[in-house]
Amino acid sequence: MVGLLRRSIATRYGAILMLITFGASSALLVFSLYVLQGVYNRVSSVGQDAIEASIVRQVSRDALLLGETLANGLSDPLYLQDFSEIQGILSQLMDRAEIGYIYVYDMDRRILHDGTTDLLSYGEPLGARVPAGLGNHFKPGARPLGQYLHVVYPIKSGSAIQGAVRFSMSYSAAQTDIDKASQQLTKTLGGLRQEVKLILLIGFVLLVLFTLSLSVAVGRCLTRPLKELAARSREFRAHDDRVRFNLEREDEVGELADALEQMRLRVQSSHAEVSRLAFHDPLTGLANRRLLQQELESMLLDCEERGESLAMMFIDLDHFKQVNDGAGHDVGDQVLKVVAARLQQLVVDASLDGVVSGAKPLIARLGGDEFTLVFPLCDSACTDTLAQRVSDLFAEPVSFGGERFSVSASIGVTLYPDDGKTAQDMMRHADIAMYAAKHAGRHQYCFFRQDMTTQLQDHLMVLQGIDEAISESQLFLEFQPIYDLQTNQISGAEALIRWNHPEHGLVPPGRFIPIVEDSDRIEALTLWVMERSCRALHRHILPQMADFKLSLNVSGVALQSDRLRDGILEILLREKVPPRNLRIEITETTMMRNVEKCAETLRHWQHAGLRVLIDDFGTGYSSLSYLTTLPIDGLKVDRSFINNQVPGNYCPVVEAILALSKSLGIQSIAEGVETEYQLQVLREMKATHAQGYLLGRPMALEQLLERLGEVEVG
Amino acid sequence: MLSRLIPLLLGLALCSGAEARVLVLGQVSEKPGKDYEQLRPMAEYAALQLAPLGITSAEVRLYPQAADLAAAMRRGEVDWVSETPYTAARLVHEAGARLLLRKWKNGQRDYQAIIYTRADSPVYSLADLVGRTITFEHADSFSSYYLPRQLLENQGMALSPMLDMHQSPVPGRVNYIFSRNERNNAHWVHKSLIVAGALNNNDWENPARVPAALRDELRIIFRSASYPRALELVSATLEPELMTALQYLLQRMTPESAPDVLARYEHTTGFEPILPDDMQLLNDIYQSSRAW
Repeated sequence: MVGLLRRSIATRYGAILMLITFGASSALLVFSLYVLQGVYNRVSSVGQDAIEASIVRQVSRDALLLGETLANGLSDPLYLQDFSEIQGILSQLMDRAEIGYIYVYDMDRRILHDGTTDLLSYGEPLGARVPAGLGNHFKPGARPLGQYLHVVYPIKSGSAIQGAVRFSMSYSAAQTDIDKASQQLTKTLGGLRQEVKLILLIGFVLLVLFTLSLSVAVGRCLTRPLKELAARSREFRAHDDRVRFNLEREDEVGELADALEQMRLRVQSSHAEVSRLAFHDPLTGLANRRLLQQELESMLLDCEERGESLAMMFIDLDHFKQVNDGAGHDVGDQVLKVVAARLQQLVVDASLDGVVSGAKPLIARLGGDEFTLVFPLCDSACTDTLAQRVSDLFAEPVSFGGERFSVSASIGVTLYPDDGKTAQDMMRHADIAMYAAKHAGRHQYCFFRQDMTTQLQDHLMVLQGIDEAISESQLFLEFQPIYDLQTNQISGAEALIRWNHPEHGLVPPGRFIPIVEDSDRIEALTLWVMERSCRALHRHILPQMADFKLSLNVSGVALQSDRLRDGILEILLREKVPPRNLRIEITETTMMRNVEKCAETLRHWQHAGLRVLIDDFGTGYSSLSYLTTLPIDGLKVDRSFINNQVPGNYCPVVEAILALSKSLGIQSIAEGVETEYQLQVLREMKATHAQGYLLGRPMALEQLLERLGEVEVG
Repeated sequence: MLSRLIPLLLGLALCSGAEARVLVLGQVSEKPGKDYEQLRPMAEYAALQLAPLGITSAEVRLYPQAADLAAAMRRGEVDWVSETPYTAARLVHEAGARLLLRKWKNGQRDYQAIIYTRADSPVYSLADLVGRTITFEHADSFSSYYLPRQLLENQGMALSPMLDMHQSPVPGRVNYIFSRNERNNAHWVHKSLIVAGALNNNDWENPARVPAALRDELRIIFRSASYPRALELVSATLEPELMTALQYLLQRMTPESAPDVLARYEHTTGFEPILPDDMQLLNDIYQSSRAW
């Protein structure tokens, strides 16, 4: 009950109303009963008095009348002293029980007759026979005294009074009448009182019942709109968007309803906004990952129902990090917006071309530089065309703020139902395909194949294991000596990283470096190599050979990072290694990707005394102009050119490169020298330095140190 | 006796030619209601018994005064009367009524007059009443007026009526006043309103008439001789056969043979034939009353 009272306003209100009514009614009832009792007592008392007075008056009147009649009847007999007649008259009265005494007496108040046959009281004085204080004995009167009414009436003969008759009448009969009348009155009044009590009680009960039902009705009436509002709130909560709170009332509940309606509008608006934020990318306005997942599932269902196919493309912008790092995030964001706009335009065009089916394609930005396209297709055969069109979107650089940004994209394509049935599979496979595209050299698209999952596993193994490898010393360095061809002495070495995986054994650098390069772990790896190299230099190598030059491979990606740039210098300083003993090798391809930023970093290093070598020179799209403008100490001729140096096959490229470096006044280091013939040719071409299996395989530091002590190449 | 009567009655019936006739019973009455009820059963009984003689029904007629009854008898309106000797005397003399039978009214064959006074009174003989007062019952009363007055006058005393009780007695005479009933008679004497009273011996001995308490304080100073209590008379015009038949009928009634009718008939216990002195008595009464 308490719980009910606490829960229900209507019940509480009804209970309060009931209590008030019950209290007031009870008080009124008690007061009414009290008043009724008072009225009853007064009416009863007054009524009984009135009855008594009335009956006494009536009895007195009757008695006087009787007295008069008696007196008239006795007149003649008295005159005639006719005692028998008198007795006859009186005896009729004497027979009556209520008569106490009866006397006829003369003017001397002596008894003439007492109604008895013997008449023995004859002549006696009246005074001895009747009570005192009866007043005049010869004047008509009826005086109540004690239990009797004492009546006197004069007996006249003509006008002369000759005596009087006096008698007493008991009140007993009258009293009986009075008692009867009083009892009747009491009974009637009692009945009346009971009736009134009953009516009051019934009225009380009816009032309480009426109030109860009224309070229930009023309570319901009051709470009905509240309940209605609560019900609507529940519906609203259950995402029924048709719900409106307006009740078309002008009272407080109406105000509440209006307020709720306002709140609903606000919530709906906020909900729309939240929903938009939750399911859309704020920057581009495209769907986000969450919406993609939802939509993809429903799109797959639709396709399944219609028997259509669906293409999903994962688009990852190549080297977009460099844009962000180089031009700032604002510019990066603008570039992303342009990309998004191009994708949207493409979708429109593709729809117009009838490539996609009736269902609307979906474009999503998954975060960073990742976009996804989902095309419900009429014919899966046109997927290739479509992928090509997407890839072509990125052919033209993005112009912004007077700058042009070449943004290529690696695109992974997967098909429903051929490659996967679920949204999860589709996304995973598209991701794998995208990585494959990226791995295959970026700026291309790649269709998913089942064997890609193995690559992905490698990829994951690298990404998940590299941090552990760094911290648990699974990595180590090997040093491949570089010979000065003029002195035939070791002039330096190239530090090469090795990963001894606890499960997979020795992991080839070609297998994990590209993966790490594409991730943000490249920084940590670079710094680790830097630190270990410097330590080896400082502690072991330089004490033996002061002008030893150690080459380190630094990814072009790392050149875009100011943090890495400064970190390298810090390690140099910390490990107390002279900058001239260190050379940074940067591949031509990576350097060319963001020339401006790369040049800035190189100049910074140059300023600190570091030297830079262009690795794999001749394989990329080099602009010869930067060779003159950038602080470059040497070129490393790519091993592919050296490999071509076989007897009978002249390779002019090597000679050209060597000539170029000579003319620029910088060193040239031939990589991959594996035969005496190649070495001989290089000597003839005046190459300054060389490295390769012929001269020395990559080796541990201890071996290198040993080699330093003995070296003398013939 | 019945075997002799029946031929007689039949003969009478045949001779009379079966003339239809009503038998009328009369009486002087101050209380007609009571007296009518007392007389009617006897009248009807007699009429029924006398039906063979032509009597078809009976009728009771009551008269306030003896004179009225006498006049009615003279006119032949009344056939049969039951009265005291005093009234009977008047009817015999004034209406020619004939004595039929003596009636034992109230079970009394005869009665006597009594003259009494208060026990403490100085009156001891009738002579002491001279110059004093006496109360008689009623002017028509045989025992309480005729007889005592006759006694007083026979003793040479002169009587003088009083107009009322408050009147002073005439000296040398016996002053009398009627008391209207036996009780007043006794009370007046007992209360010393009147010196002496006269009543018949039956009333005197009846406590309803003279309460015992009163009688104890009263004293009888004279008793008269006894006289018949009541007499049955028939009119002069009544047919001899009817008179004979009625006389025969009544004489044969006893409390055993006709208890109800007799009891209702003034508590009569029987009838007896008229005695030889009875007519003389009536004559005396009449002569005396004529002189008053």
